[in-house]
Amino acid sequence: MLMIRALLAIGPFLFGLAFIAPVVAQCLQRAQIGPLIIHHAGLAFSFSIPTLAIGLTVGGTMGLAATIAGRWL
Amino acid sequence: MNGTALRAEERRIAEQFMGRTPWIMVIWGLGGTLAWLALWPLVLGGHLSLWIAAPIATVIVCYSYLPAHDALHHIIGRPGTRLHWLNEVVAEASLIMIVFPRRPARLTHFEHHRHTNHAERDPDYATRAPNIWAAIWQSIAGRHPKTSRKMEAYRTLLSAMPTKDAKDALLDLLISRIAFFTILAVLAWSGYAIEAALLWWLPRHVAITYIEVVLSWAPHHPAVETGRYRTTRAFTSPVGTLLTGALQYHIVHHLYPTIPLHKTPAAFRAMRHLLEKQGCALGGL
Repeated sequence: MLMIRALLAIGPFLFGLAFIAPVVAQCLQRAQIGPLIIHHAGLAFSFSIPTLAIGLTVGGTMGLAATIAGRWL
Repeated sequence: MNGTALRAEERRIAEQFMGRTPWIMVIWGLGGTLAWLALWPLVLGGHLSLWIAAPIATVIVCYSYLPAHDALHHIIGRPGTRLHWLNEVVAEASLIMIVFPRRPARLTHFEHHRHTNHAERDPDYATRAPNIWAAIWQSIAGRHPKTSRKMEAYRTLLSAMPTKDAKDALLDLLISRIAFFTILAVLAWSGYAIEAALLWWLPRHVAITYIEVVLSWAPHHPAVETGRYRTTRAFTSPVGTLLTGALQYHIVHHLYPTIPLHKTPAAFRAMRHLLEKQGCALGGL
């Protein structure tokens, strides 16, 4: 019971990682969003970040913020 | 006609609408659940576009509570009767989509009937709001992790009940919630995150807003009185009976909860003159 309560306390963070992250990643994949290219001083820098890493960052951040603040919006 | 005679006449009229098995509710409840379940293999198997299935799922989930509500009141089959098992199957199956098991749904709903509009005892009191926009926003904001007002009211109410049924109902709530998020996570990490979001997660949120605003806030607004004839109001609907789920006639349900939903408009029309004499708020209906 104690473990369940601990899990519920960080529920939004877990939801962020377990659900929001793959939703974001799969949305990016469907939208076929390619690598991020930044042009600076005549040079082109290409950042190819895996969509799952972006999803985990967005989902984890949203979930953590919701866990701390107690609100999603 | 004095108060007792009015009540007797009201009862006589109400009884004409009770008693028969509302098969339409059985078909609606089980058919809706089966249709929603069928969307999954159709979408995941590539036979139906997700963009067509998502609005269908949203409509099905929004309307899932209404047949379940009749079953919560044992309208399909009373305990001890031949069809009681079917009544319970309709209640449980229809409520799967909004992740609200039959036992906590029934216990909390009966408390709502016993203590309608009571600030501490009515578990649906949290839907009270000054206008429809505030009701919509309150419903959405009420699902924040630390301000889950309605669920908190349900949990508090069930925790305070000293019965085994209440303890079982609390456990049902917990298990259903964990199962729901586990299924969503498994689907999401199996590559079906968008499907899970658009066939269940989002439709459920839309449905909860619909239920809390149209089925709970609207018929009880302004939710300040507690007498038999003043807890609920009738109202004219600018969006038609289909979109309100006939809840503009909800006053009949609070007076006679065993009248099936689809018969409440006719029952209202038959007893309207008596409700007017009892001082009900009929809102021009």
